[in-house]
Amino acid sequence: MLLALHGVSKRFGALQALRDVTCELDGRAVGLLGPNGAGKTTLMRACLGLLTPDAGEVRVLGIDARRDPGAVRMRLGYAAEGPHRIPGLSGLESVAYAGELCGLSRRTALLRAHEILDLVGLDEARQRPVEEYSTGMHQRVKLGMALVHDPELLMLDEPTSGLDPGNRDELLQLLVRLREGDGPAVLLSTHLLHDVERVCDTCIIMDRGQVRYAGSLEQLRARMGDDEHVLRGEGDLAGLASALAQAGHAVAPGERPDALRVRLIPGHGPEAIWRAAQAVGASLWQVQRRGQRLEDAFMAAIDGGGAEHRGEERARS
Amino acid sequence: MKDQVFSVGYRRLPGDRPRRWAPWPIARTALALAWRKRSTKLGVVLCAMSVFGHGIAIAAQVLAERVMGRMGDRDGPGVMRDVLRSVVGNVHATLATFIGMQMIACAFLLAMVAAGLVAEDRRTGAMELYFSRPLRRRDYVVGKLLAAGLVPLVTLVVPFSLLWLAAVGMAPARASQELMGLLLPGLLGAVVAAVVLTTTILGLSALGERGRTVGVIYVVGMLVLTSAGADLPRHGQAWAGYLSPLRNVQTLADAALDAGSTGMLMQLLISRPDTNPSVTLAVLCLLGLAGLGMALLLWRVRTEVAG
Amino acid sequence: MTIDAASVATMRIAGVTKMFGTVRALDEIDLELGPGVTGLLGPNGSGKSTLLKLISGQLRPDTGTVRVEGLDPFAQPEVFARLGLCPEQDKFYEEQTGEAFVTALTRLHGYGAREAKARAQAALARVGMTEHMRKPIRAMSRGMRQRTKIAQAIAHDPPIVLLDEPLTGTDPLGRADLIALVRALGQEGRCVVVSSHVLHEVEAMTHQVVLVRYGRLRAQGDIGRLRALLDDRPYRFRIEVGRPRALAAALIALPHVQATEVVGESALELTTTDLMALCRALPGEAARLGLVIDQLGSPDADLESLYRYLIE
Repeated sequence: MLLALHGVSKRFGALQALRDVTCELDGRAVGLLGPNGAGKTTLMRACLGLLTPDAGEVRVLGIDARRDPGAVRMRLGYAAEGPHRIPGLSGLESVAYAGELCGLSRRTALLRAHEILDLVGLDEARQRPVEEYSTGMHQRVKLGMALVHDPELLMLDEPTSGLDPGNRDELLQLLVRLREGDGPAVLLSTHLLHDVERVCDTCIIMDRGQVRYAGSLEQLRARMGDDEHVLRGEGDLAGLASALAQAGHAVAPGERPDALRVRLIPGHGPEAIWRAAQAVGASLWQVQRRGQRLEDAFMAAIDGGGAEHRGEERARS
Repeated sequence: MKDQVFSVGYRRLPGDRPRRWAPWPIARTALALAWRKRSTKLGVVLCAMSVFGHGIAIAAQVLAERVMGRMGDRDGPGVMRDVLRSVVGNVHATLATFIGMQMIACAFLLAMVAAGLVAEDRRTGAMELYFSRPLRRRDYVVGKLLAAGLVPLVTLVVPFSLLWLAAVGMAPARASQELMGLLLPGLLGAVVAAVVLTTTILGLSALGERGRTVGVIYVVGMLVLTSAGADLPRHGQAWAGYLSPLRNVQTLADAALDAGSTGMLMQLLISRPDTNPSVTLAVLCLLGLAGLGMALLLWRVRTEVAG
Repeated sequence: MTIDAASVATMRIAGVTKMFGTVRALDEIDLELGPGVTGLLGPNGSGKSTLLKLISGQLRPDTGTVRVEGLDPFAQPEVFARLGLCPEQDKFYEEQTGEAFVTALTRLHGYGAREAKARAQAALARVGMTEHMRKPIRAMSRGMRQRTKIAQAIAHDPPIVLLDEPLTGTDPLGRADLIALVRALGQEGRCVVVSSHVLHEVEAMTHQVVLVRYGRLRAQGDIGRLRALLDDRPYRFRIEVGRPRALAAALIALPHVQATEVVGESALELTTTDLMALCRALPGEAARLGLVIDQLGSPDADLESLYRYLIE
């Protein structure tokens, strides 16, 4: 069991950051999702024993985080959001120092730091002082510091924020490799649902300090009902949409301007789509069946949690 | 040879990890970082010059002692011996002066090395890095105390011992016997000075957000206290002497080392701080200051992190 | 908020080079942008922000010209009335409320107090901040701050809107709304330039992109057509169908199909240089063989692949 929380509450002044959070989680890669102010960071800090909850019990990897934070942190690698660093140290020294603070000898820590920086892809720059680093290099160092002591669970708070596509792709690939290997399990807090879809098999959705969903991504999607088809192509897509709608299928606009989402009437196969496309003269280069979008599932989980409001941030447009 | 392709993926770290003493890497890294700054090296040179100067004075005094010893054999109770002694001074006073003067040099060095130890950790978010590791608050505090404490240890306590050793080694047998007893009281004075310096700089660092600001405030604060402690008693405000940590340390050192006159030569070279009338009160003031610094440091660490 | 068709927003950038000391930020950029949304993409440090600063008159090009609606933004501040900018930096007067902040900036465009306030409120409503606009900015989450910045950029109804990383820090709920807002701004006929790192979000806003790399233009235009231009990168294509071998035999005869590969009992992978021609021919071929195509798609036809092929 990676995480087990029972009735965890935490209040900061007027803000109820966590409200009776109870959940149990297992898996190789967990996504922690939620709007701003949902309590994601507070939850992670409670797991680290960096703050003491007002009530409830937090167990990480079977250890009580409040009673023995040292043992929890020894088995946990945490990379906080934000530009945390020790100016003057090089990337290599930062990672080795993090290892030493976890009890590695200086020599072991240095060797391990080199190995981890090879893994996260910080090459010649590792000997330069960290204050000269770009966002991408900095995120790599933070990841390295979280990995150096061979934790059993890696906790990352917004690791892809501010990264350009190339860097983001590499980081996500690395997390996927970690998930596949026998290294640490990953807990990833992020705003980007795509990152979670790519990396995670399990997720927690939080809103206003409460857990709305905790479980596998697959089940989350399944809760949303039938599969749908995503269509992309050239020609009269609007005509295709109305033809399908007339035949009784549910049609919705896709995420991209040139895409359609179609939910076929149960029992109908893709030939219905091909027939309609032929009729209006649209040529399709994508017809893909897929489970529910995580985005819809996420919205539904937040809406359906009994909250009359969609998160703080929801715009009414 | 067996054909094999080796994987370059994530490797588990083999073996158990014994729990090592965490304060040491904290202190070592802080000092290594400080050493990379040029200002630190300047501060060290300043301290070394002070050690060198007092060393020369002590050598002169010991040699004078030897000369006087020979004179004593021939002339009987001589005026010459008293004159020489009043000019050159005695080793007791020089060692006591060293503790006081070195405290000033050391305060400058600490302002460069240690002012940012806690302040910069808060500003750069390094505090978060520390406490997401299996560190207890105690480890952090001890690590920082060790880092700051090593500075006066190396520039004040150790040089004092070396000067004492040199004096004992060079002195004629009779004087050497008498100097032997100075080590423990002298070390006591030096260690108290070191403790006061260490805790005050860390306490101030715990209040600030930026190392440079803390350093400047520390030096200015020390100067203000020292000059207030030096000037106000001359205008009848005797109590103000206890404000000056330097004066208190000098009081303690003089009492511990049983210092007599410093000699005219030394008085020409440096203006030695005056002393306070009550040694007990001086020590209490020093301990109070150290306690205040320690309390600030502990309070800050407690408010920054739980557990 | 719509603009009359007569004042079609355009910006023209011709031969622009910008150096910062020895660092080359932009090199010989030629670019013309009209109404609609354009995504500005590139790695960190590729010159995206510099380009936006040149357009908004915060920097002057070393050589070359920047013209916004025919005016030089560095020399002719009249441009600013026609231009809204949402900068990347997260800097505010923290004590101000969102409403006061947007109102104050709108007043700088010469509106009276009442008008400015009305406009600020309208803009804040558009970005969904009506509920939170009386909070001090200090107390706002990253997403709310971001929305406030966008409101400030559109309050004076400019025909040109420049958005530098507008979605950073907003949560998934907010993102969907802001994407819809950007699309709407484009459909109103404004010239909207959005720089972003998150490619699928750019794809959701627009199909027109400009790619910069190391300060040079790498590509500009429609995502699909740009992808088709990469001759050295034929499309990979996957078809799931009942009898893949039969369909493969039929398709390999097409001139633009380079290779086919049967994967298992129900799938077929092929490479083609002309995706659309293949897709036009495919339904006919399948019908002739009596096959129903279950799924098909190209894994490398999207912006992500285009970006990877061009930038990395």
